[in-house]
Amino acid sequence: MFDSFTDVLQRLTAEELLKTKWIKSASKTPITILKDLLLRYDAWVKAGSKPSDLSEPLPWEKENE
Amino acid sequence: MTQPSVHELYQRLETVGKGSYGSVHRGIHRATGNVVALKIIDLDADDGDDVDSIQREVALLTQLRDGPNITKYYGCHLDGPRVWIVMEFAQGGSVYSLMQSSPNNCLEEKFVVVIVREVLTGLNYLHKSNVIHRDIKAANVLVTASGKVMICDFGVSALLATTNSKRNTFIGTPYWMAPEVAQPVPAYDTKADIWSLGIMTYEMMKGSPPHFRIAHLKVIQMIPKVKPPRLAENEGSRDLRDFIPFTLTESPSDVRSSLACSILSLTFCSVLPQKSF
Repeated sequence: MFDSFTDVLQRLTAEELLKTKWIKSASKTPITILKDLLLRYDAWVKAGSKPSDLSEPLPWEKENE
Repeated sequence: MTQPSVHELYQRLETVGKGSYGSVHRGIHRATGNVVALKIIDLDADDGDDVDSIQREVALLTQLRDGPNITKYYGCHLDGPRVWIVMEFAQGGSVYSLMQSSPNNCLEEKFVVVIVREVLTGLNYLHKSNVIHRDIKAANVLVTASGKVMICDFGVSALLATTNSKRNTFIGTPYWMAPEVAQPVPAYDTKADIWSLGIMTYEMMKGSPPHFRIAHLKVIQMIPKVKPPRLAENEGSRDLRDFIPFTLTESPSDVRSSLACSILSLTFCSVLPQKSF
């Protein structure tokens, strides 16, 4: 069973996690590498896959009509 | 003198997101023509306590304007039974949508490590300001056109927690919930976000969070009882597999003996750099 006290204590803070080996391994990688993901996304959208349509009115707007 | 209604201040444009709490829209600040994000929350409440707690929460959020990797917060307006939260409109794709356009819905580790680093930078700032996000997951993290990573919606989750406290409503999404949060009386502190970030890391590597095919209510019951998820040897680098247990910590009864405990703390010390404190 879950023992919240010790479990949560063991969990590192954001500051400590920034100093771990895995995060440090990317310390020289700039955020611009993420542009590759955006290019991939644009190509995917152009190929016809679209996130679901969100343009219909909200329930409370419908009621107000 | 009466205050102008939020409709006079902002024009609501298209919907860009929907959640159980309400919806997110692109909007225009009429006076300046600036584009903003409008988060409209249905409070579904008629008692005055809510307004007070909202105002307290808003005062806290207003101090967070210029944190790294978080969307800027501009203000908050009451509109009948609804709250409009006005925030910076961050243009870009959510990490979730970037996963959808990737092979097997997974991101490569070289991207994942940069995203996690940037989210940690934002969380470090929020946590030092005593703000808990409560809903960290790929869908709530954006990547802008320049590659900047932005944590969204922290205001929404904090406000929801305030207004729903009496109703004992779960905030957050079950799959990303820390064991201490998935309880009849949830215990929140900043470490709950760290667990969710661990789940988000797993989500980006594997395409979905653990137990994704299991229904919400059942997952809430499972999370405190099952062993925390881990990545298998072929699912990530050694350093990544070592990182996961720092976020998805095991409770002591999972660690079967004190010997195992001491090995765990040895590993812990050797991985953390010695000097930088």
